[in-house]
Amino acid sequence: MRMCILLPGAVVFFVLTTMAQTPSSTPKRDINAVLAAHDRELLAVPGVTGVYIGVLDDQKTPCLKVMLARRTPEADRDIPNQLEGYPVIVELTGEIRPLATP
Amino acid sequence: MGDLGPEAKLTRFLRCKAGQILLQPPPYMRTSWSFVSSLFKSIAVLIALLLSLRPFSAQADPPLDNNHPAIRAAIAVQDEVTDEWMKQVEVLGTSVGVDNASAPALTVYIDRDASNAGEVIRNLPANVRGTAVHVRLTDKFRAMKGNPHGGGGTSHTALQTPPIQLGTSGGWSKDLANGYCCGGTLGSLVSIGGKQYILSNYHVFESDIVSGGNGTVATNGDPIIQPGLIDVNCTASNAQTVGTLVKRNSLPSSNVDCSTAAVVSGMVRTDGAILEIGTISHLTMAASINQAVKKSGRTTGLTHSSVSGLNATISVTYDNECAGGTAFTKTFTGQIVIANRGSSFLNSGDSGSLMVEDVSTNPRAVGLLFAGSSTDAIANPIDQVLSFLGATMVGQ
Repeated sequence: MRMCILLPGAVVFFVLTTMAQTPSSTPKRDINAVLAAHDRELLAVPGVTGVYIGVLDDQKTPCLKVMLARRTPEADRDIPNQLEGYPVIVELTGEIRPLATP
Repeated sequence: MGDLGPEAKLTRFLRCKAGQILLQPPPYMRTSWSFVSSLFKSIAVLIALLLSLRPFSAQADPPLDNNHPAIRAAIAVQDEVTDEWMKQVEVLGTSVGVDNASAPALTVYIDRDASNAGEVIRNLPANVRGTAVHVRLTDKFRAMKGNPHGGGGTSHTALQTPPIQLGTSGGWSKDLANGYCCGGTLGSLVSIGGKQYILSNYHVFESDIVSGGNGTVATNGDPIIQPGLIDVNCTASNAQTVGTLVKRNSLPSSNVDCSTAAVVSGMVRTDGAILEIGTISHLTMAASINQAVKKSGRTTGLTHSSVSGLNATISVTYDNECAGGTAFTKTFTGQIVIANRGSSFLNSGDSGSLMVEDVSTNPRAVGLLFAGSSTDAIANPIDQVLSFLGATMVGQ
C-alpha cells in the first residue's frame, strides 16, 4: 500500500523537477522556422524595416535581429526580448533603400 | 625689328598711335604718306574701339566665383542662416552654388534618414532675400578614405577603353528625370542561353515605369551606358553604349532585384573581369555568418566586409523613376545582410555590384548587392538571381 502511494508521488516529483529544470527560454525549434513564423508580425510594428538571423557579440550564439528604420513607441513596446528561446536584438539601421544614385 | 607675334605688333602700333607718332616713312613713300597715315589712323581707331569694348563685355558676364556680386550675396545669406538652421539635427550643412538657370542659390543638405526630415524641409523658406533655397537629401557626411575611385587608384567612374571591365559606373541611358540623373554599377557578366549579358539591378536598368519627369519609360533595346549618366554630367553622348536593355521584370513580383543588358559585341571583356577583382569563378557559394566578402562598385570601389546576417526579411521602397514617386514597397525574404558601418562597404551608386568571397584568385559569387543603409548592406543570394534568370556566372 505504501508503495502504491510512493510510486505516483515519485512520478509527479520527477515530472515537476524536469519541468523546473527546463527554462522557458530554451530554443525548441530551428531558428529559421522561428524567424519565418514571426517575421511578418515584427515587420508590422511601426519603424521595423527588417528581421534576420545573426549572432550575438560572442560571434557564435544565434539570435534574431530586428532592423529599425527609426525608434517608435510601438517598437519600444512590442518587440520582445526573446522569441521561442532565441534572443532578439534591436538595431537602429535607418531605412533600407535601393542604392542607385542619386 | 624681331619677329613679333600679332599681339606684340598691335601693341606696338597702338602705343605709337597714342604718341601720335613717329616713324619716319622711307623716302619712296613720302609722296603718299598723308594717305597712308590717314589709313593707319582709321584702322587704329577702329581697333582701339574694338578693344575698348572687351572690358565691357567681360564686366557684363564675370565668372561665378567668390567675387561675383550675386555669389557674395548668397554667401552672406548662407553666413546668416547656417548656424541657426544647423541647430536642427536633420540639417547636415549648406553650400552656395548655382541652379539650372545658372542663378546663385543656397543648397541645404538634409539627412535623408532623419524621421523628421519632411517637416524640416516644409519649414525652410523658398528663398532668403532673393537667394533661392534648394533642398538636397543626402546621407550623413563622412571622411571618404581615398574612395570613390578605388583604393588602388583605379577609377570606377571613368570612361574605359573597350572592352570594359565590370564593377564600373553605368546605367540606363535615359535615366534623367525631375532634375536628377541616376545610375549604378555594371556588376558582372552572366551567360543565358549561350549569350553574354551584363548583370545589374532592376532599379538601375529598368525601374522607370512612368512617363513622369522624362516622358519615357525603360524599354527593351534601350542603350545601357558606361559610365552612368551621373558621371558624365547627365549627358549620355559623353558615355559609351556597352549593352542593350533586356528587361526581366524581376520586381515587384519576384524575390530578386535584377536586370540585364545584352552585351554589344566587343564592348565588354568576354572573361567577365571585374575592376580590382579580376576574373571570377563560374561557380557560386552560399553565404555564411562572418564570411569575408568583397565587392567592386561605382561609388566605393573595391571594399571588404563580412556577412553579419542570413535569411533576412526586408522591406525596401522603390521609386517609379529617377527621383520620382513611390512605385511600391517590396518585402524580400531570405536575404544576406553585410556589415556596412558608415556605408564603408556599400553606398549610393554601388547597386548592381557583385559580392564575392574574399579570396584573391577567381572568387566565387555570393550575392547581388542592391540595398542598404549606413549600417547594413543587403544582397540577393546569387543562386536565387541566377535561377530567376536561367543564367550562369561567366568565369573560370
